[in-house]
Amino acid sequence: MLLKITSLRVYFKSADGFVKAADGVDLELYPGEILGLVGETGSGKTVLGLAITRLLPKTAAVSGEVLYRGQNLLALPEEEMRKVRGRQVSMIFQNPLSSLNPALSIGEQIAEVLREHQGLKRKAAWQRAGELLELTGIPAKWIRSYPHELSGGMRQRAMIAIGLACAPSLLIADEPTRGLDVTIQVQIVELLHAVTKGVSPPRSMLLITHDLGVAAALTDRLAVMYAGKIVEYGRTAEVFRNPRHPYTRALLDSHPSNGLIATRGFSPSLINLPPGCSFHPRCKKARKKCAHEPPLVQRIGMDHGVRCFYA
Amino acid sequence: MYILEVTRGKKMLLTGSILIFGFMALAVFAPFIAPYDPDDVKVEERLLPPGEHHLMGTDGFGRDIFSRVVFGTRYSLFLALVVVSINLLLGLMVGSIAGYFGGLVDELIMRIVDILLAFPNIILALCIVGVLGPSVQNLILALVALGWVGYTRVSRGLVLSIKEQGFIGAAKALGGSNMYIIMRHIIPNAFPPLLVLATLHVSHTILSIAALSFLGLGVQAPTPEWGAMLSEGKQFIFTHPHVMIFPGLAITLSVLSFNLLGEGLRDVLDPRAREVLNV
Amino acid sequence: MKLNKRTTVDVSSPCRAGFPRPGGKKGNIVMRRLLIQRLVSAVFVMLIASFLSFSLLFSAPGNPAETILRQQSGLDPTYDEIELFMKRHDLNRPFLVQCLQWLYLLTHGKLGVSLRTGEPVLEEFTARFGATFQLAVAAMALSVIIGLPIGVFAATRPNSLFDHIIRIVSLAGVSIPEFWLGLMLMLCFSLALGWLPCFGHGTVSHLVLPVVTLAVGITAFLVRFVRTNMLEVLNLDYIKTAKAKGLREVVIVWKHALKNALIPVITILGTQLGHLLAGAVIVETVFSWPGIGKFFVDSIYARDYPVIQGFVLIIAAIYVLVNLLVDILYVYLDPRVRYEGRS
Ligand SMILES: Nc1ncnc2c1ncn2[C@@H]1O[C@H](COP(=O)(O)OP(=O)(O)OP(=O)(O)O)[C@@H](O)[C@H]1O
Ligand code: SF4
Ligand SMILES: [Mg+2]
Repeated sequence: MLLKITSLRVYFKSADGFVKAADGVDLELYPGEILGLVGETGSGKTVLGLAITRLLPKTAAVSGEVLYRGQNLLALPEEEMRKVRGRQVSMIFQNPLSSLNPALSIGEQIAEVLREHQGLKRKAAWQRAGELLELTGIPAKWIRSYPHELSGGMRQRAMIAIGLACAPSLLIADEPTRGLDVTIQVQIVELLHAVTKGVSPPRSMLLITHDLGVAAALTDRLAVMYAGKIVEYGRTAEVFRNPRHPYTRALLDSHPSNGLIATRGFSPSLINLPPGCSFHPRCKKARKKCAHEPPLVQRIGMDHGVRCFYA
Repeated sequence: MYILEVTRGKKMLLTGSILIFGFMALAVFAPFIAPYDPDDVKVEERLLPPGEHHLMGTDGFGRDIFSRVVFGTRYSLFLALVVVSINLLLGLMVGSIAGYFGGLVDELIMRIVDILLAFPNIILALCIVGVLGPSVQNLILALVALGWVGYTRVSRGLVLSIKEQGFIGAAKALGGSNMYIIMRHIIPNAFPPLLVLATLHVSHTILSIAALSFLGLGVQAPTPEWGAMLSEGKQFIFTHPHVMIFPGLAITLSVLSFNLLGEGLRDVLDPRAREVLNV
Repeated sequence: MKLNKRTTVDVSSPCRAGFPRPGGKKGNIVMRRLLIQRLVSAVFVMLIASFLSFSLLFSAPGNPAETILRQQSGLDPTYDEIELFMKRHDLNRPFLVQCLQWLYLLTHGKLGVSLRTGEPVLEEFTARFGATFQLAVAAMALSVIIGLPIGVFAATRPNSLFDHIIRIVSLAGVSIPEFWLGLMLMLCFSLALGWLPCFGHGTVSHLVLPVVTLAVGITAFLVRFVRTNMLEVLNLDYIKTAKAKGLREVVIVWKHALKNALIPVITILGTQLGHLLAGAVIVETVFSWPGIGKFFVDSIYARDYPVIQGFVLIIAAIYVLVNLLVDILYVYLDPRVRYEGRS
């Protein structure tokens, strides 16, 4: 197992109380596997990614365990963790325009990672940066251009090139296709497929997305997140064919373009979660018990689990 | 981050307010607080060091420095407040007109403002007082000559952003006149950020007045204004430094208190309003 | 690493049509437009400045000739003496004639002659400019060397003890009147400790006190400005990216954040020139520094109108020029402006 997350909790201190952005998340990721993380906006997907890489702001209280190759990342000294980032685990953020440094050329933004982690000299690093650009589909002659000079798709490619620079074994990609034209989305999906499944040995990826189509195309397994908890997980094909959690069902029935707000009602406040099953105010199948008792995850098949009493 | 800023802002605001309140009290109750007449010349008591009878000593004419510092509060605070008020009102008016009407009026006003902003203002102030002759009126004139443009620019920005909001359209639809809308809706909304600007500007103005007076181009010598006191006392700097220390401390402290207040206000102000100030 | 074939083909399609290269045609046009715009406004500023500084003379109370003559001889001048003086200096012609005459001479680089010294104003200026320049550059350098790192440091540890101390000290720094600070430094380091000379000009030790006096306010301002900007930048997304890349904190702060935070800092330094000039007037007066500031104040005392007019004009010109340079520098520093022409 490459990554094993156990009862991960991330609470943000705020004026009104704790924002429970992740509330007991368990997740496993195998080598060479692509795991999709889906859920409506504000369900805590990005927070989860940031918790793995320990990039959350100081206002976040994090507990639980994030085992990467058997090593608990949450207990690592900061300097050790720094060496994990970019080298072992890379994260590609939402919104490449604001995530790329506007004052540095993309070549420099790639080359500096190589200099830092692989000890390459200036020239060698730039050489390699050019290769990485070509690899992700940007002509190497654009190496000196600045982020704002690139189109949205090109920026996303540059982000991917940065993430891949040191050949990490785990890539965390946060909404890599968001805000792009459909044709370009397809290209990015193909690129992501190429740099994970297309290399040997295959690289693992945690793919955070709104787009169920993207998830279906790329992922091996799927985890559905709702209000800081994983409510269903399983093999992608299995989940799509046989969704068991009422929320997953609503999600699959909904249209992907509406921010994945799947069903009636509003997302719950993460500060005052509804008692019992957090989904019960919106659930069509809710019964009395759901309002009082929080459901636990039930295994309902080979590698398929659901957090619902009546799945 | 924002919450931390607010608590810190509150602390600064409190400290600044208390200090300013103290200075105001000194100004208002000066005759009761000052132990001596600030203009009472006693040659036999020249240049006494600070001591039991004279808390801060006496100056070259045997006048009690403490009493002069206390009375000096009146000049510095009063003049600074007058200058800032004139600038604020003038700038607010011109800026509101520019922002509200837009078009050619706006274009014209902002061109003038841009040009005036391109001048180093203290040099021009020096020039005005220097040429017109040193007096309180000319001092005020010199500090107003360029002082209003900053407010104009900020007011205009504020008005533009307020104009975007719905209630102006509603007021217009209800048949409010332009003047009514400017007075009733725009100016009250533009006020809080301008207040921050004005508070910080008071400290600038106190410094400018003191500097001009120190150069002999502002408030004139026998008047117990802090800058003028320093100007008079500078010949004693090496022999009797106490003459120089206390008025300078008074300037620094009063400027500091307005800076604390202004900074505090800015931190407490909601971030959206703060943004306008950075224009 | 093997790549799916389809991914690498047709890389040019997703980019915008007519992709402009940095520093290419579009960049140049933007630059040129900006430059022309600034130049035009600079010319306007100078025209208005000349008119204003000329009309100053006519708004003055009393007769400048009388003042000058009284100052030169120490006696009240006679009517004839005044007449003669005015004639010699063209002071009795109509306002507009004098104004046009002045403008005409201006275009020929002639700023008139000092009434006090009889020397051309321009020469009086150039003779003293070096001393002021020395002061200003040294003060600015000192401020940047001290203020920048402190501001950056405070921003990386917001609300720490260090940050609080810096905040209070810098607030005090912008609150101290320069002339008083200069005198207090003199008192402390010249009189009490005897380490440094307080008046005069020539050696490095003469430079220390005036430069420090001038630098305190700018340093304090700079610390606060850098801190605010750095704090803002450090919260941006690309800093998170830099962290996710596993870069060292030093690199993140001093390269990724500072490079962006520096852009507004450099522009603000241009506006600090006004502060520097004003400060120079005060500091030179306090320390008897033989620069343009002291000469300017002395000319004001003496009502040496040609010098006042000329100096205001030259100072305005320098101010405008420096701000123009800063604008250009800004365009070069910020790749986004270079590309989009945002101003
Ligand atoms: N720094 C923070 N301080 C306080 N609350 C935070 C912070 N960062 C995130 N949150 C809260 O945590 C919750 C989860 O946010 P997160 O960004 O993980 O959602 P998401 O699932 O990624 O949504 P989206 O699909 O919109 O990206 C949100 O309610 C958000 O308000
Ligand atoms: S536990 Fe109850 S409320 Fe929750 S999802 Fe299942 S049926 Fe709905
Ligand atoms: Mg997100």
